[in-house]
Amino acid sequence: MASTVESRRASMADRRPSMAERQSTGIGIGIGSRRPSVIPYLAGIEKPVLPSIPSKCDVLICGTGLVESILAAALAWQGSCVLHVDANPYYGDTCATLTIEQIKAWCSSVNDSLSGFQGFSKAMLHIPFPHRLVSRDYGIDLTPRVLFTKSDLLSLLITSRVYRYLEFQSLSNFHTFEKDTFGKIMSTKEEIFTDQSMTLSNKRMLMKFMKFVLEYEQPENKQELEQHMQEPFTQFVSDKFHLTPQQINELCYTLGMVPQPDISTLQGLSRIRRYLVSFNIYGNFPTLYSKYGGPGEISQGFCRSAAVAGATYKLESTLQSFDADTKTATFTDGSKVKVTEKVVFSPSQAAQGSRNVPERRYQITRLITIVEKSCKEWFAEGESAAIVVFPPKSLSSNNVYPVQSIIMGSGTGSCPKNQCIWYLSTIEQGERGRRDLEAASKKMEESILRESEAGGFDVNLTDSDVAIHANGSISVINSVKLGKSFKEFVPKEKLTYLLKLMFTQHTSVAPFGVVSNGVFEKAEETDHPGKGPDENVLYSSMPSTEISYDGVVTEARLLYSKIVGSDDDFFDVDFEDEDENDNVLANESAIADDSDEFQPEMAFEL
Amino acid sequence: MSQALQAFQRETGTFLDGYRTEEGILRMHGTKKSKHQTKQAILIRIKKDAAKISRYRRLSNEVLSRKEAHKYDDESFKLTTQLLDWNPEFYTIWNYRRDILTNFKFLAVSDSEEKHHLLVKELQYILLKLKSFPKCYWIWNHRKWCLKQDCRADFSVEMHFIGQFFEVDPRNYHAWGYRQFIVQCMKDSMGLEGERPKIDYQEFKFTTKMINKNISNYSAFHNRSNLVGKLFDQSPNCTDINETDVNLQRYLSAFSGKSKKQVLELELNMFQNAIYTDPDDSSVWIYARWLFGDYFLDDLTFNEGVTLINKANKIIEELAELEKEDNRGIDNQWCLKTQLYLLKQLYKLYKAEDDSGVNYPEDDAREFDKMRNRLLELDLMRAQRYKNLSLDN
Repeated sequence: MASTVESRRASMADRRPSMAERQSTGIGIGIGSRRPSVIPYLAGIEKPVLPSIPSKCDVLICGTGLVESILAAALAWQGSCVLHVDANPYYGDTCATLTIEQIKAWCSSVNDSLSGFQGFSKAMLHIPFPHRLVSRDYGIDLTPRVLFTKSDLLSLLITSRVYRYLEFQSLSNFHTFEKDTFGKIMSTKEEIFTDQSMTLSNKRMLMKFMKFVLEYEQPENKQELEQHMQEPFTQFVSDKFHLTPQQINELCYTLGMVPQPDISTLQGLSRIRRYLVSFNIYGNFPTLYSKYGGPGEISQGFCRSAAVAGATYKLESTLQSFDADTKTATFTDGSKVKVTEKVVFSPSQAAQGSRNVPERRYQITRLITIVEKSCKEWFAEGESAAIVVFPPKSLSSNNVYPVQSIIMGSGTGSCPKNQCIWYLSTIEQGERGRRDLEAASKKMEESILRESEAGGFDVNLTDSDVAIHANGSISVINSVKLGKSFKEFVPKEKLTYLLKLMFTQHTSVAPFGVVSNGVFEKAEETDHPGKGPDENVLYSSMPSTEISYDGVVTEARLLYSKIVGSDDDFFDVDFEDEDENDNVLANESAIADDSDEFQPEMAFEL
Repeated sequence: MSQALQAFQRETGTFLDGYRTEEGILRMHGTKKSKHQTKQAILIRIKKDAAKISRYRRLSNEVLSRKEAHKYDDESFKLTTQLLDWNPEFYTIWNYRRDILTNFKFLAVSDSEEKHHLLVKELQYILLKLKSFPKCYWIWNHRKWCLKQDCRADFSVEMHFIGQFFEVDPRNYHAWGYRQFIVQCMKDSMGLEGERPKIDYQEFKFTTKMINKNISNYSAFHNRSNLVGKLFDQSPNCTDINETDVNLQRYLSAFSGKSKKQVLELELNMFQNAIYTDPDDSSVWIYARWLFGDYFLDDLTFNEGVTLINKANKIIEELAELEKEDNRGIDNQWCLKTQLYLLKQLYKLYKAEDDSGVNYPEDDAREFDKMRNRLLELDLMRAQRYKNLSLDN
């Protein structure tokens, strides 16, 4: 197994063959050598075009988005016969990672409202210097995300072993934009302790708040909380912990990554807690991202896992209709498949004339830009990505909703050296949304030009840059990484944009919502008595507004239990333990413990 | 980076690979398997274990009998490796291994160059073991022994190596002890007396860095207190060291000026910062005991001492009030305990000044009783201790 993983890594790292080529050859490597007794039908993976597809399957899934891929793998491992198709010639569907050429095609398909591209609208693409872009040097995420180290998806990646197909990198830097400057909140004990600008009592309260966040479910704190449950989160924090509005903004919108203002106390606390508990699991950072592309890569990983477990894959297959009586699915190329259990559709690939697609009431406006700058000033040492948040009302457009931005440098493998991809998004809709995103992008441009200008930041310190302590000593406030005020700054150079893509994404998942059964219930009850092409079809959701992977596994489990009955055996697989060969010591140590009962005692901390 | 260091890194690979932390274990094995074990499964386990136990016994008997027979050869060496892989806490076998090295392996090599290579290999083996068992005394001892044997030991490599241990676990007191050992070795191998305070100062800087990272670190504070002593005994020269950090510059000038008072004031600042950041962290409070212990106070004049103690007391009192407010009227015990300690030290000062201690302010004496009684209410477990506490004893 080790050797096949190595060869997979090599071809992934070598990312220069086009996405489609790589995808078609990559996943097939070495499968046979792993489980020779069960050679899965790897049609569609080794050869994208196949003369025919199987005539029968248990579950048919259309769309290889993240949720659908996890579902496919879970079902396949559970023993179901899964046929997983996608209308596109690439994996990932609504969360795919695309090259420039693919993005171009995607844009026109979206604007033509073709099947397979529903759920997106108003794609506007601008490439000022087409000759400068080598298409396959880029991996652009349609829905970029970051993974918290303490999350259900990460645990699933480990238990399912899909993490072996992927490479993850850390992301530590979360910046907030406020009053025309970028700042980084002190969120660890170390940062708070060494900070020179906070007053002692402020430090104390901030630490107290952090502790409270981690312990708010304890009985003694629960009473306290009950009194304030209905209050808005910002009020609660201000009243009880006397934190500054700037700190509250940072906690709420940057650490918590809350997409809208006016959240309840409980929602705010749980979000911030998600961030804090993710520290120190794998190191001093709370989030990871997948190299070479986010959800797109991860869904491919699960597809591979599903294929290993016996699922069949076929790309470039559009489903035309599903007949609930005969339980037969018909494809546009005429072929038919009998489905014994269920059909699952991604709304983006819903057949023409479908009637039961869940209503998509919510929107996310997205802006993706590729800039000709490495942006390394924003990244922590050794890292290649960062997050920037613009809280409500921080922009010149007076944004109602925060703008969230993920910045991916070339070290992430998704763009060439000295370039960077900026992913901005907001739940503000329409023209206002676009304005907010443009304003945010402008601020980022100013900031990076300032930071990377030869000579660095402002050397002229004023009174506000210096802190005078009670005992008379003077210290310079640590210069904030992304530079101070822009007011007097006039950049010498302009930032070159190589690509700008603005589009709207529609979803049925509310900004704070976790996918619930309600969404599926609607799809099953037919308001229209006549048969449509999607009768009795289960629909997954379009990707939510959430910038993390929260909710993805929940949805997969929900769909799973709708098909199988319950989710008790969701990914309950006992992989043969190849680890035994790697580490003889793990099995042959008199002190160390083979059994899990002892492991906690052996854990650290005297 | 020195060549030795590069070679070291090449050979040991990424340090974190396989380092035995709970997270590392999780990473290796994924989530824990279900705890439900059927009776059948338990019986199978017991059988497997029985087989392992008899294998282990056989091996250890073999090795021990060879030891008794004073057998020193390659075969025995390999067997010790096997046994130690299995059980590194079996210190007798480490002794035996050292005997084999001394009486066989070292004799087989002609010059110190080859001996050095042998020991480097041995050090690599030890590193591997340490990654799995970073808190085993015997492994650390063995490493120290190896270094002492090697006249060409490269201490910079060792410092780098111990630095990596600190990245993963800054609270491992074995690692701290080992670092002190290396520092001592470096000092011993240096000719010039003048270089030693420089090293001590760098170490002091290192403890500052560790404490900044996480104030909850007993070993760092302990090490710091040792170093303060050394830096006053053999003070560094300001001009020799290029210190860019403003705060550390003050420490440096205090050390070279041999001004304990100045150092105490600087530490008091740090102390204040720490207790406000985390009022429940015991490491800081315990460090305060040393700060306001005899080491510093003996050096100050009566007035200086009284002023500083009162200053510290005031700082703690302000915090104590805030804590009490926030905790629904329950005092922070560390504040109380430390204030009691300070008041006692104050009393000592007064007593030394004029024998009877009769000038000790009445307010302070009353405060003392008040706080002690408060502790009696809050900390029933230690009630007897508080009952026996008085200004005098």
